[in-house]
Amino acid sequence: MKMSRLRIAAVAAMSAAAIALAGCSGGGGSPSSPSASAPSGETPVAGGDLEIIVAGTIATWDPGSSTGSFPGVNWDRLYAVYGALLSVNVDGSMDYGFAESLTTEDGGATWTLKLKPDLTFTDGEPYDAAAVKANWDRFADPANALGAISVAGTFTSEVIDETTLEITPSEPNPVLDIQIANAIPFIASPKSFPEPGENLTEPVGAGPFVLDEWDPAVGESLVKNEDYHIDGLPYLDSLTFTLVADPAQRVSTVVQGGANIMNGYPFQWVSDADNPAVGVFPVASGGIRHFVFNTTSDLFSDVRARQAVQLAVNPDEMVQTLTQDPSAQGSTALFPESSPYYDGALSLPEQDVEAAQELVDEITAEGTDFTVDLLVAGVPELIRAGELLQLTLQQLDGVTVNLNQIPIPDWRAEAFDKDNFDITFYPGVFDLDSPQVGMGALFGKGGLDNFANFDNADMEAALAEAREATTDDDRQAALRKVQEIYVEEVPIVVFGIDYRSFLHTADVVGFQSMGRGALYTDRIGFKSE
Amino acid sequence: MKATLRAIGTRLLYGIPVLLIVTLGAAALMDLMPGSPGQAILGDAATAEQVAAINAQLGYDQPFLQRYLDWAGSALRGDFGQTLFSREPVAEVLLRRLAVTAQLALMALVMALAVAVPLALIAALRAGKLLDRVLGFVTSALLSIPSFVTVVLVSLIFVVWLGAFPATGWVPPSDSLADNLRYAFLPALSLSIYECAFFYRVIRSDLTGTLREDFILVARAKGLPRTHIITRHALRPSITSLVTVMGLSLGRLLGGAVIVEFFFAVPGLGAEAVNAVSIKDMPMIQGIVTVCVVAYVLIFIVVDLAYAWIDPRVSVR
Amino acid sequence: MTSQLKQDPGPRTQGFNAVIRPKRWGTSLPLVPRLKPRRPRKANRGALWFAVAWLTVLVLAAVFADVIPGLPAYDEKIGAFAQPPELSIGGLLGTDGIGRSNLSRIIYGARISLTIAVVSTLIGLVIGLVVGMIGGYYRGAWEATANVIANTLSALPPLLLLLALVSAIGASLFGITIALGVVIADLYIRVTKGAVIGNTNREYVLAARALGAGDFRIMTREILPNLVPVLGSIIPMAMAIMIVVEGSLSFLGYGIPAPTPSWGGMIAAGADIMRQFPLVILWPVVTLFLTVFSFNTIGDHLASRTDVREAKL
Repeated sequence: MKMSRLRIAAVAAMSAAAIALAGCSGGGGSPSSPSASAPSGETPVAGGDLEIIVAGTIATWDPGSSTGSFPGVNWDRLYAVYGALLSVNVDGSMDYGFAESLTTEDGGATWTLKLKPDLTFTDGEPYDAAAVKANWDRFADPANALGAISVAGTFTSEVIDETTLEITPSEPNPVLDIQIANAIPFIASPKSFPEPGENLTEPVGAGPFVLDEWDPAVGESLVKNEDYHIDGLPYLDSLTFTLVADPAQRVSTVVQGGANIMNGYPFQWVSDADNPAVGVFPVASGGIRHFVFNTTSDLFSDVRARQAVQLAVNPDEMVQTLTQDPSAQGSTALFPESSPYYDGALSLPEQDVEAAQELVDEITAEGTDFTVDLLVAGVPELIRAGELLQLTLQQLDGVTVNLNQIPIPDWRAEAFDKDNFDITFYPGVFDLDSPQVGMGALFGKGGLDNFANFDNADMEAALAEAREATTDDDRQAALRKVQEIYVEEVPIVVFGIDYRSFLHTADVVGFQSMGRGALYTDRIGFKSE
Repeated sequence: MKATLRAIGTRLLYGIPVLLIVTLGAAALMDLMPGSPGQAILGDAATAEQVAAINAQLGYDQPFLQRYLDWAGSALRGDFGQTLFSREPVAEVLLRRLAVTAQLALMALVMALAVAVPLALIAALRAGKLLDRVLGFVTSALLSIPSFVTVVLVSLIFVVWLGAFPATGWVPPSDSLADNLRYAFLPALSLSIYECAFFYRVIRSDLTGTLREDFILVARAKGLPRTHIITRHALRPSITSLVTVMGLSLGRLLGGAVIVEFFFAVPGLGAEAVNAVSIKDMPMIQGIVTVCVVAYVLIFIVVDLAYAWIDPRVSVR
Repeated sequence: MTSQLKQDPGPRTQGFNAVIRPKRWGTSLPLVPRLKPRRPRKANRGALWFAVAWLTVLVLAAVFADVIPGLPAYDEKIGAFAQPPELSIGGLLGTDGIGRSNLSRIIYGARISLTIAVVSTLIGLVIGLVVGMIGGYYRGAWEATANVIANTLSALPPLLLLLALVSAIGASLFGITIALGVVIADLYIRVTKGAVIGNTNREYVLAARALGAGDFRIMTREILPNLVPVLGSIIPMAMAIMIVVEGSLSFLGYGIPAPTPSWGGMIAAGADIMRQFPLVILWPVVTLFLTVFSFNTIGDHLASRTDVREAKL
């Protein structure tokens, strides 16, 4: 398959980022490496109105309601009005916004947050340590029913002086800074707090933009905050998020120039790859495409059942069908080849249908019914992947697969809260930025992405080691153990690596994304003519 | 006059049980559907307890009949509640959406009429000849294309190949009339294709019947010019059927533009309805349903009145 | 103005003549409507034959799908995804986004689409006949009730009602058929009621009552058969609508769940990959179009044969 220009450019960008990844270290301030933690391309000119197309509106402007630093969900909008205390870059380094530093001297038992001085919200209230504490205490209060409680509830804080806050987690937590950056970096003016249960519809923050109009069926429009704490930023005069529900139409709109940016995956715009009017910006951290076994279900609590399914699947076929890209490569390792944590030996076994059949026969001979409830969120690529998995598994004797397709807004409740599945596909990719934290979310007990309900003592130990590691070697060893357990227990089956990307009109420059893909909208802008 | 007023009154009266049943049914259906407003607000990472807490705040833990009566009570006083996310008054949001959908519906109707009436006339005059047969075939074909195929084809032709119109989006007329028409053209065109074929067939078959009537022969015998016959004599009886189908079309367009609005990202009633159903925004759903029923009743009152005005033989019962 | 007709259609009758058939057990009242003499239809003779042929082929293929030689199963992967057509039975129309045979999925999809069309039409017909008959025959409050029911069903945007019903009942064949049947019922209610009202005052009904026939007998044995022409022209067009609406449901994501093929589902799946692989969406679109067109053409033809004005609307 011929490599298009855009493809080559994307791969080059990824390799550059990968080199930067090799030099990563987490926990406590670390030097940013140039290529992945600075905006791409030339410096934007001042001025301009940028339009970003999104798939859905946001439900609330509450700073405690973020659902992850992914592009296209509410993180982009929250960053626009609130800015961030600190963020994680794609290479794992920290990007400090309103915070000057967030450090620990004692391995995570206490943390110290230092704010930049003389910050104010757009309503005039001071953005000081007290304001930060007020926000975090509010997140931690169960009466407010905010998702942020999952991180904010793990620590208490104390104001030392105007710009210093001391944070004490309930247990020593060496990766608290990454967790804060990925969940609760948004601080709102305490005057704007709503009553418990009320929706926050009028946000007041100190971010690069101020909310101008919000129409849930149309989108959100924001204008430049003239008093943003960094001189010269944001470059843009206004930022608009526009809703376009149909995915193919999102691509059309950007290609035609009707909007400037959309986020997705490279396979969605393959036919426009050579169009000079558009460019692609990949999020270098990349992620794994995988499906998950419910290890607490009757059938898949047995590791042989999981191995049987895994042996029946051809990862190349699976990723090609999902992306409709005949040149896509399958991969069953937890990391991409360019990652320092990658080890070719730590991949799942190759496809072996006979061995799969043997395992199935073993299980059915014991009287267990090999009926699989496959849950699929109703997006076209996952439906394809789900149908392929069903087709593949039903070629084995004794296997029945029931495919249950539900709308994507309802998927997480079915899959995570109710565990109503045997196998489900994880939508999109699971990001590999900060794997020492990410793997915990994926495999750790109680992890927010642990759909498999995996609970394994060795894994817990390895994850703890990864979090607490202070040197690259220690971290590498710990993550190696994680991968070994993954190969042995097969709670999930990875079948490909993919990179979130942005399709944008050629005149947009200054792209920089956070670890899981959300854009720094204060640093983006238009090329000079 | 009194009879007309009484007839209007009867229609309105009949509309009320319809309204009640429809709103009650909507409330019941939403109850049966999975998901809840709390889930929609809190999003993915919320726990079941948090969702339950928000639902309780919103009054969702009450039995649905109680919620329905609460809503009905405030609706009668003019308060239709607030939307789920942005907490705007439902009535305001509805009016905005209705304006958009109404504009598309009217544009589609005008486009359809402008094309269908002249074509039907010509075809009826040349009944049985080639043009009539071809048009009959083409309109039959157009009626067989589902709307989700129409939008894709229209987009392919006008956006991808011609590049003359924007792929998605909407600009309100208050911002810029020219832009508004540019953005509205493709959705209105997609809607008008079906209506045009429908109008054509109805008018044409009506006209062929009318043109065979004796009074047309008399007019010809009198030596009246052809155009005069067509416009003053032949079209008149067809106006009633035209009015009926326009009413039907308007009703259909107001409620059924869902796919077109979805595809072209137009913030109209249909798009809002799909969104409201997916996030279980009860006040909005009830609001939309009410608007649809009221519009429906009003359209048919107008249609009946138009009948009575056009054809003095028809008395409004 | 020229008249192209060879025959004068005569006074505006219902289009049929009652025929009295005396039976052994006594006089039975008119049951057999005879269609009007054929009037030359101005267009579409060819189209009509095509429509009949297409539907016949489709139904035969759907019924005998399992025994067509060389046809792969609809959930069997016969090659790489999105392959263009080739000269084998399975690959005649190429493969879809997963690698399954498009031809096979279209034929099996015909089963689903036709089943949905037929069953939902039956459901709608039953509801429509019952409500419309009672309302039209007894008039008064019954007619008002029938009106309210019909108006309720049509006042709601159909797609919305369907979305809600399907979400509530479940996106299974059963749920979708019921939902579609309910939504189309208002058409049948109106047509039935209108036709019944037109018929109740006719002489043969009066005669039947004079002979002592009860209401139920009059409704079922006298009036109902006279509705056949009117309904006959509506049913094909309504079935066409059912097929399209099922497609719209699938397009919006609420249709028949995988892997059961349905034309609407195939179109939705093909729409996603249309930019790279336009052929995949072509086949179900063309099939859907031809089927709907055939239903419409047959319905048109029947409508012209019975010359009932209401049928045009």
